[in-house]
Amino acid sequence: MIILRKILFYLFLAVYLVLCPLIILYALGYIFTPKAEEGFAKTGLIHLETVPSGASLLIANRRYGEKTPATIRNLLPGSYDVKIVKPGCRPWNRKVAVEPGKAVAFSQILLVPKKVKTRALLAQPFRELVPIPETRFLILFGTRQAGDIRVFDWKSGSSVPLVAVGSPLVHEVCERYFFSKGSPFFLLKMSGGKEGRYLWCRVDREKPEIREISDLFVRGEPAEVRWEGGNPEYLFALYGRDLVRLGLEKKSAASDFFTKIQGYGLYKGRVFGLRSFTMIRRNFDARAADPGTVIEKGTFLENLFRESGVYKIDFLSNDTLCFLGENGELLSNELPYHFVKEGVRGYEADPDGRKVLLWKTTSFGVLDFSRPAGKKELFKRGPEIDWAFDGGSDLQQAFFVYGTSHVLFRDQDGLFLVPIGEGGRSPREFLAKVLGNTAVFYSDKTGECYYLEPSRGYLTVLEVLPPEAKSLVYMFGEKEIAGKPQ
Amino acid sequence: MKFIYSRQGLKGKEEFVQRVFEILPGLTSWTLVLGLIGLSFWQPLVSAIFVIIFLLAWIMRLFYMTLFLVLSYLRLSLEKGTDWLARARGLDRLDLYREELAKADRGKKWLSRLILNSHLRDLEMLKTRGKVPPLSSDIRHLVVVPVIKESEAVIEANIASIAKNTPLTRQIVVAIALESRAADEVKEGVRRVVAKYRGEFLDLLLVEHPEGLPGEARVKGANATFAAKAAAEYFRGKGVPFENVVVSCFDTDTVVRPDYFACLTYSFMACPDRHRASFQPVPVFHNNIWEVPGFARVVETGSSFFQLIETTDPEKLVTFSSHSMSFQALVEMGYWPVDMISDDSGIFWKAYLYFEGQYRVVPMPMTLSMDVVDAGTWWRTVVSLYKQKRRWAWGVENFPLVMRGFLQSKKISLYNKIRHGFKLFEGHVTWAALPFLLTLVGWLPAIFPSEEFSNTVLYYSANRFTQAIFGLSSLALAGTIGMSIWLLPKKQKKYPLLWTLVHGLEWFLVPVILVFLSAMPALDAQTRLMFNRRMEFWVSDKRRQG
Repeated sequence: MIILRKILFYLFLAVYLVLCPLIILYALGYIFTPKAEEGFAKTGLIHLETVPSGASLLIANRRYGEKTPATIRNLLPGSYDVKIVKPGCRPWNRKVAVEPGKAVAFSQILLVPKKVKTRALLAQPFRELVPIPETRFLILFGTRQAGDIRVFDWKSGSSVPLVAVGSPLVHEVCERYFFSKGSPFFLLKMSGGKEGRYLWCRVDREKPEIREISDLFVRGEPAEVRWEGGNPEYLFALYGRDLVRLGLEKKSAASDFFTKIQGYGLYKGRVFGLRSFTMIRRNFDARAADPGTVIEKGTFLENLFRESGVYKIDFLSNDTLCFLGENGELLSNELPYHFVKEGVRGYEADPDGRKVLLWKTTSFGVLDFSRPAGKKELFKRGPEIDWAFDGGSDLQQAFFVYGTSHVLFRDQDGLFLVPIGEGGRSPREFLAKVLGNTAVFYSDKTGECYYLEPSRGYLTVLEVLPPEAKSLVYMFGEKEIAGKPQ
Repeated sequence: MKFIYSRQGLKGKEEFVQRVFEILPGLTSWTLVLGLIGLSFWQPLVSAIFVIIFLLAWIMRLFYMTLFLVLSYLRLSLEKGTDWLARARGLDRLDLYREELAKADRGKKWLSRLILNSHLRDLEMLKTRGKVPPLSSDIRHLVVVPVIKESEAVIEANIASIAKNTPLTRQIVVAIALESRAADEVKEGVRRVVAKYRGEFLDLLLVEHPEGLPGEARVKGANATFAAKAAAEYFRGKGVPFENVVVSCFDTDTVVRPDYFACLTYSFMACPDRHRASFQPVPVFHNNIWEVPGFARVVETGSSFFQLIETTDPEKLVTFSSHSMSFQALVEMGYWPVDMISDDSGIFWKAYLYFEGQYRVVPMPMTLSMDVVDAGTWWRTVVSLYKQKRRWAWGVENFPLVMRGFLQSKKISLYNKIRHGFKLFEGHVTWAALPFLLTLVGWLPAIFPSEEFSNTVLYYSANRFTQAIFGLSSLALAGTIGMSIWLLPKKQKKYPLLWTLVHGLEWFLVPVILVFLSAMPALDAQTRLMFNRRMEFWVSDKRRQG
């Protein structure tokens, strides 16, 4: 037994000593190629994951037996034409550069169906679709008359008229509407009377609840009204450069909550105002004697903001603020502060508030606050915008799709899908024609896009994500604040 | 070599060297675990390469060990029907016996021929070396059974099993080593057992070990040593030469087979250097194996397997748990360590140093059965098992003593010093660190890859390699499950098919057990030794049902 043990020990040891370096070299990408000029070569690999999975691969015109998800190894450095095909889906083509020892990973390839699935949800014509961001509600206008307004809950698929048949409000005409993200309330300004009527609507009930709050608007029609949360006590109305607090419960309007401000934002029960290059903070329920707290001031703010500029302040997360100027100027409180000089039409943040998708008339880009700064940078630069797409004509809206791997955008009356973060520009995939001049809405939770179909104005849903991709999105969740108490 | 196998009373350089070797195993284990965790985040590429090196070494070792587990089991199975007493009696007339065997029909089965040939080789060696053994009838067995808190049922099962070793019982002296600090009911139980079985043996001594003798710690070795000294007086009084006495130190829950002492007699007689050797049976934990929770069964079956594998490497075998040895050697070297918890392995190292490397362990193709820890409830059994494993892992206390001994010894060859020192060190470090590397650290580079690392070929290869290794290890696991089905005693009650399936699935607890009931207690013990926090002997909870 001792001799056998010794023989086997040395045998195993020899196998180990031979195998170990070979496996390590192979794991690092080294292979031996029979060609005389190659000898030992360091290779790279391409990793491909698609939704739906099970697609066939062609790399440099060579068909591989593996189906996606697949890792194609032992590729000598160079440029490869990669094609992914699956019956019923549009082919996916890329030119991929393989470097020695490196892996090129495409881990979230969405294979768009050749024929995109759509279905009409409400077979009645609408002219306008107004999504309330970060809630499950879409407001649909057949005409501007209150009786033609419906509230659609995309989570349950149900819809209710805003006002019941026979209500005295049925024939009143809506002139303007206001909503705040994450709140199931919206404010309608209806024509009628000298100054019009203001209706405060709550839509997260079985039947929408409507209450007139015209008494609060003694100063007339505000430029903007914002509030926060699922059960707001206060509305904040902007008149010129003055911010007025309107007490919903107390039915009171306190003037001069903030005066001469350049911009304001609401976050967690506090109003943040920008005034004379100073950031001030006041609680929603602050007393008149409380002037608020100065939270930031200094010369750098003077260099940052224009004196005449007006900014919309938005909290992406606890620590990150965005300032969107009137002319599309985009700033943030994070380095390098100034991101876009002009032209930003809008932006959307991912659920964590670390990635921002912003768009201009013809292009969109991604600002990734989570990307760590380079270690060897002489100048601390912070994140930079990665302009992922250029070539649109009139971009109106954009959404992150399938996490942050794709972008769905509305360009004039077309809906398009573009993968991002794959290195280089990717071609856009046309999905559907939509009714122009009104919004669309996309939920990454359902993987569906809601829009008004252009010929009849029906509310229609388009399946952007295949079923197996939705389960992944569900795992990571989607921000939805509706119903959260203030 | 005059070497005091103890850490007591050290001063100056000796104390420094002792502390260095006490710190080394724990420091190495922690460095491996924490270092690789750190590397996984800071240098994932280097970490991934280390993981490949470790995993490949582990899988090869696993297959190597599985192979020897099978061989060891085969040998055990083949030797099961051996008439050990006939063999021992044969040695009394060596020349004649050899001739008889040489002429005997060796049968058609190659395995039985293999066994016979092995037996003949033993006889040949005995003849060549000229170390004539004492007559089998002159051999006396001393069995020391230390008792402190064990129940009467557990003690009686032990003594009763020894009493079944007819016709050798009249050559056996049992010494029950009872701690004076034991509870009254324990003492009463022992006395009842002594009264019941006294007539079964040559003699049954009850030796009460007083508490607090100078130089002693509250450990089993002190109790056993006190009883062995009393037995020495007994043998002197009876005129029995020590070289004819084989001493066995049994854990209280030990249950021996009816031919155990016959096998021991033969092993002792057949060993030319019988006074420079310990005799190690294979301890298996079968007494209550079907009465304990599943995880405890897996843990102890694993321990049994480990011992089975160890017996295939006599050159590195160390005494463990219940073992036997020449009483003359024991007396000569000054009995078991009286201040160490791990007296079972300690006695081997003490002897190895005392006899300057001229000492070894002879594996016996014989099992003896012990209890699996059972503390009544699931959670208490977990705690009890943890403490038992920590006590076993405390065997690391031998490392600094052995290394000091090696530094002082001029006769032990450098090869043997390195061989034994490395095995002792590597064994303990592997015990504490490897399960963490396998179950946790090995996956870290894949779970938390940096952007830079996730864009390398190695990231994908390491993942694939790790999966392949674990796939291969499941083959070894399947082999182990098969072996456990063969080796474990038959279930006394019939279980429904579902439970049988569950018993098989228990083996999938191995990764959890490896970490929580193997690596963690070992790391705990090494950390205590590092910080000079000594442990006291803690007796495992063992119960008998019915």
